[in-house]
Amino acid sequence: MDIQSCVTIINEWDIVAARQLGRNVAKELGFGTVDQARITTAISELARNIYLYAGKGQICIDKLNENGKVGLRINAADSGPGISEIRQVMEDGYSTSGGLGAGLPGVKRLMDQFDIDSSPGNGTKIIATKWLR
Amino acid sequence: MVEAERLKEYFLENADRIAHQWLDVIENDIRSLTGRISSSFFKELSKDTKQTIDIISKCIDPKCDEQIENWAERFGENRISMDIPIYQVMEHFRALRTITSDWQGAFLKHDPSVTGITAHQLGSEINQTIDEMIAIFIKKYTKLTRQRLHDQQQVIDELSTPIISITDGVAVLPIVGDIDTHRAKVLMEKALQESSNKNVNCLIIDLSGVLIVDTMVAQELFKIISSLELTGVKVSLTGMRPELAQSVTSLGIRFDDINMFNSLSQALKLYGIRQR
Repeated sequence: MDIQSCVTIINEWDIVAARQLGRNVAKELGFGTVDQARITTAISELARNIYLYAGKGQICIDKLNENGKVGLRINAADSGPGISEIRQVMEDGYSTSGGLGAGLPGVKRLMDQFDIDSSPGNGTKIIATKWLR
Repeated sequence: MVEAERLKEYFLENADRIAHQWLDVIENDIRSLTGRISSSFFKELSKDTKQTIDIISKCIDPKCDEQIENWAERFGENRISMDIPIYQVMEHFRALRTITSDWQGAFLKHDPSVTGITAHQLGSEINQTIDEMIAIFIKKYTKLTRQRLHDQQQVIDELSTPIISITDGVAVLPIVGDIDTHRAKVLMEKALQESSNKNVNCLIIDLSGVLIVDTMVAQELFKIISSLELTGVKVSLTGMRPELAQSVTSLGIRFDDINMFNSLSQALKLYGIRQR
């Protein structure tokens, strides 16, 4: 049983592949349908951001087991332009692509834990975790 | 070059045997992977292998690009329709190189007057022909595979937007599965066109088959709805799954200005369609 599987994001079909991977892992870990939908949506948002802003990146899904707690971790990483104002992008309604601007704050709400590490010229790394209740 | 002529003749004389040898390798390989080979399939393979050896022999001197193009077209099509993966075909080409190399060796024994340098040159010519064949074959194979994917995508697009007229001006558009940007574009075009063709003034878009909506998809959906409303079509959404609703709310996507109904039957009741 693999602990981590990854999908490289270069074109739109890769977003679908990342979603499928996430959905399958979530199912395997025993997440209910609502949480499966949340996790898959979060992955879709993160993968799409990579596709739109960085051009290329990676989504890795980790199975977690910490002190008996089972969880799923999404690792989204890219070497794109990076985000200069993290606070701004975490605000609802802020968008640089004419979109709904709900992406990152939305992902934060969909998952239990959310961490973002990004700066101009250094790419972006986002880690989001959901625990099985 | 005189020696080239002699090699060409030697190969052509033995073409059947060479082809048969190669065919054996191919046949065993395919059989070991897929089990059985139908007789029509086998006939095609035999024709192919014979033609390949013919070309290699004739193209020893001079070059024959046009013949290779024609060969590649058939060879490629056959491999695709027989579902033989490209890596397997590459293995077959590798076997071909070994076999032709052995036969070159046999020719040199048969005709010991050929100098080392000439032998090397002849060998090089044959290898170049094989390489040319591989390159053109890969081009054709890729082109045909792309074409097939494109055709399949078209089938998916067509399956994708059934606008079903229910009654006077009321129609239903059930959406099933993931909506990516390409599909959203197709949906938009077809929804607008069909609504106009079928004189739809109320379109009910049913989302019960949709599992995932991310912010981009939601945006595409809103664009479609806005466009339809601009052409005088009133749009209602029905059947959003509870899981979907939860994700959508978390993402902060709002469906404020849109008529939402729990289910298709609820929406239809509004238009006076109910079970008698």
